[in-house]
Amino acid sequence: MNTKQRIQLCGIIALGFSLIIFIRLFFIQTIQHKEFSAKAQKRVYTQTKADTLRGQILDRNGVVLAKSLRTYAVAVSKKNVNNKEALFKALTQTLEVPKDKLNKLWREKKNFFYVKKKVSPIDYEKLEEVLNSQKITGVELEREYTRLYPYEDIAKDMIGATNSKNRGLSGLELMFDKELSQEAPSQKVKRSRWGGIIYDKSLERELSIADIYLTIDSLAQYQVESILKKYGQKYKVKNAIAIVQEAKTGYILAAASYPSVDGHALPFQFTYEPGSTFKTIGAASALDAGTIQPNNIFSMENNKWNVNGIIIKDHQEKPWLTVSEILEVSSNIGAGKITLELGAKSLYSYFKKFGFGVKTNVGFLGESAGILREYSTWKPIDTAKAGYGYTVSVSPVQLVSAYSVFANGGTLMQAHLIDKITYPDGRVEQIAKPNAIRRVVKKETAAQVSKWLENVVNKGTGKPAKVKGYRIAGKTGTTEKFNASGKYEKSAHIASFCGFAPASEPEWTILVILDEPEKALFGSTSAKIFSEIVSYLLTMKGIQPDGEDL
Amino acid sequence: MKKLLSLILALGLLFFILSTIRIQKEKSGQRIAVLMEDIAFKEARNQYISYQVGIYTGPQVVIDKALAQGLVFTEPSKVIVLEVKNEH
Repeated sequence: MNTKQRIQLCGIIALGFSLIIFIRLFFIQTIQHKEFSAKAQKRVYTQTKADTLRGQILDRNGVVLAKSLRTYAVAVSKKNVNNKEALFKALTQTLEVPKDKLNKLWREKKNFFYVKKKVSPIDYEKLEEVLNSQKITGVELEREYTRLYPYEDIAKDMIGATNSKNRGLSGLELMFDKELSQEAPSQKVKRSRWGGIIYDKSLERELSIADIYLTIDSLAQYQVESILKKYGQKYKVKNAIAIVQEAKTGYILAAASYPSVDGHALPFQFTYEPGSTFKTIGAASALDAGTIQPNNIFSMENNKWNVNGIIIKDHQEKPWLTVSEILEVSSNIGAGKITLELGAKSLYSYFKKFGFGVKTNVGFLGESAGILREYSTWKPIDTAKAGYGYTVSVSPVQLVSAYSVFANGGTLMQAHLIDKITYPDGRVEQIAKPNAIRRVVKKETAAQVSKWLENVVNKGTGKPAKVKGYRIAGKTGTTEKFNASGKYEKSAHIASFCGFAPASEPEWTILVILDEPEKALFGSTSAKIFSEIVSYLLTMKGIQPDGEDL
Repeated sequence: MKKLLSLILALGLLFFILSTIRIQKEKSGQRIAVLMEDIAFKEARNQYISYQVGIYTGPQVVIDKALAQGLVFTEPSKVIVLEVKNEH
């Protein structure tokens, strides 16, 4: 074989190899393209886990009521475990998972099983240290977000709940879900040989989650909830409600329900006939309209007043009562006479001005508007009954706002539950501002009603509301409830008290409602709860005494 | 021939620089990813600690501890408020 032939042979061999490589490459890149492409993608890329970030809910002082924290779900992949005993020991010691549970899971599950979810970063760190130092394999850690409540159940009825995907389910969590949450979708990212991801600019994410500030004060809220729970249990109530409003600004300082159910805030959603607490509204309307004067006296008709064939009864002894006395002894006849004299049209107009029959727009999902029928449908008995709080249904926030009118010199203030929303770019959306909706009654009317309400506490049914050293104004209310057949139930009552303190310079208006108490049937019981709540608030804020009984 | 050689060398150098940059970029990406994960973890840990501090300073815990030590709520009329008045 000469040189030329050898070169030709080498050329043919080289060409042959090239051809083989070419055919193989062609086969891989065209026929087996999908399979190899998928393998390459799997080696080079990985998917990040989809997440939902969520902002915080805070009280007026910036105290966190709800926040989402990164936690971990710890799982075991049996086929990757190199030392079962060491693994079980590590999990038992760091996560406090009982060994029996681990053994059971190991026996029952084929390969993959979760050991514990919502593991804190601190426990996660401990576990990781042990796993690394002892070179234990087979543990898989997944990142997750958990909604946590540092003050546990405080304001849970307002805050509501989130689901496992960190989205709002009820209450404020649902109402502000759009502002609070931000989806972080699963992303395709490059991975290194050792499994970690390689940072890429596409991973950068602009945060858009907002924080919601409430007008609630967490300390006041806690105390109100505790007091409500104590009496709720004592009197075996169906529901107990308390709402505290700042008289001058309309801000809700505390709003509590017992029993507390996530997302069901009764101070905004409950509807009831207010009973005698409504006598104040009727008397104030008549006084403001000029149909009564403070020195007027009313005949009590021997405690049996006939209104178009329907008898209204009272349980007091005096034959004649002044307006103040009507409120002090809580006379239905007196209150009925006052509103009947005012007339349905004027009374209805005042009810509207006080804010009844429409939502207050306090800032809570599912707020009740109450029930206020058109006055044209009222019969004389309806007008009389409206004077002592029947035929009209109200929500607690409506009634407390209406009482704030007297505490605030005759002006209805906008009720607020949401203080502000803050965004990560520094923007602040201020929602709560002291906003006067309208003048409801004259300043002199408000002052006179305030005096009447002080008399109720000093001399009348509201005595249990007294706080030593302070002037308190308020009115009791006891209402029979409607039963399923549409009749008033003698054994099912709502006992309530609404008032404000200190009466000389009111800070707060407070409404307490006991729904179907088993043991205490009268509004004076709610007045006692009012007294405890207001005592705490006065102490908390260091308000100086304005009364003479020190 | 010399020119061709120079061109090949220049191209080789360019490819070497490009691949070095690419490798460095990948390495930096890995390091950044690790650091970011570390930051995120430390942030999560700090937040968790502040959450725990929140629990321990919560009204329920404080009140329970105060009551256990025999402290009681004072009457509001007995509260004395001291105000610092500006002398200027």
